[in-house]
Amino acid sequence: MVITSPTLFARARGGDRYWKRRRILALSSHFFGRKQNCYSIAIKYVHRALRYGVRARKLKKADDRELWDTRINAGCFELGTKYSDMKAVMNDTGIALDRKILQNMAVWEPRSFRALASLTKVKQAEMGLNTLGSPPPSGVVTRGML
Amino acid sequence: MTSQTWNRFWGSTFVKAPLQNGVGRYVQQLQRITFKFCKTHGGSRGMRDFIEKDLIEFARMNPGVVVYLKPRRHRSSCLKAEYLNGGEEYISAHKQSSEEIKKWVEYLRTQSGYSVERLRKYQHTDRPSIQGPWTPWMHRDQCINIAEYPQEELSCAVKREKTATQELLEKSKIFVGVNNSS
Repeated sequence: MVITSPTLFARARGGDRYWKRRRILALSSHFFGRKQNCYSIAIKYVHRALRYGVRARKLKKADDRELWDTRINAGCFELGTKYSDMKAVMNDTGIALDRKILQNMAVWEPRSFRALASLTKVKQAEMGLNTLGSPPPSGVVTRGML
Repeated sequence: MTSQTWNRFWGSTFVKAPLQNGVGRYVQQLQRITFKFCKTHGGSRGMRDFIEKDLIEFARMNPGVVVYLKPRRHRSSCLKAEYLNGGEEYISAHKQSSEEIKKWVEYLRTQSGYSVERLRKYQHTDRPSIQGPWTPWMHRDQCINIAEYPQEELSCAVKREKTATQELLEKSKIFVGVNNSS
């Protein structure tokens, strides 16, 4: 009688060390020195690179937004308004242009951007931004200085 | 897969069309297509079925494409497409059915000759600006172009806030206005 069950219980785990290392070394192909070819060195730097990648994907959005804000602010300042006023006026009039498009216009379509700035300057007077043109609310003493 | 790995192995490119194909007229970019197969081997069965059933119609629908058939013994079946800008595409059709090969042929028919790479941006324009890009003199008064220097008015500091004199003058006007009305 041949006993086959115990042999079937034996498991052949692993055996894919080469391919696991290949996956890591594929990601380190553009590194410098031993970091690109030697697995035990490469794995540390590959993990770091992947962490950087995850972090940078979030930071890129914030960096782009900051850059766009800077550009729009510069454009507004050149034309004699402020970005904060422009935001308020655009909100009031219902112009739904986002930062990406505004900075694109400031660079490539400057006359359209100037039209928006002119609209800001006119509308902010209507809305009462930066001035206290209407009679001050009760309880506020201005002595005519505001 | 990091982007550097992608670029190292497969490259990246911007969106482009050969000679702005499609902006005006559209010209089919496929120049010739070669069907290589074995007359007897089982792996070429799908290819042989395609040639018997669908190839004539393909040739009739695309009169601008040259179709070559290469029966080669002991070779697996494949498709080789060549395009007007010199690009090539090779697709192995080993053990594929005639429906799959038909889909691959349709894929090759609609490609441009550029290699398949990651697109860095999904838009491209040769003319990003209609009004002209910003220059430092765009929003300035044109009179500075013909001004003769030195000039008092243009050399003084830019005033961004009202001076005290101006404010007093404005206030006096309001005062006068109020007085006149009362």
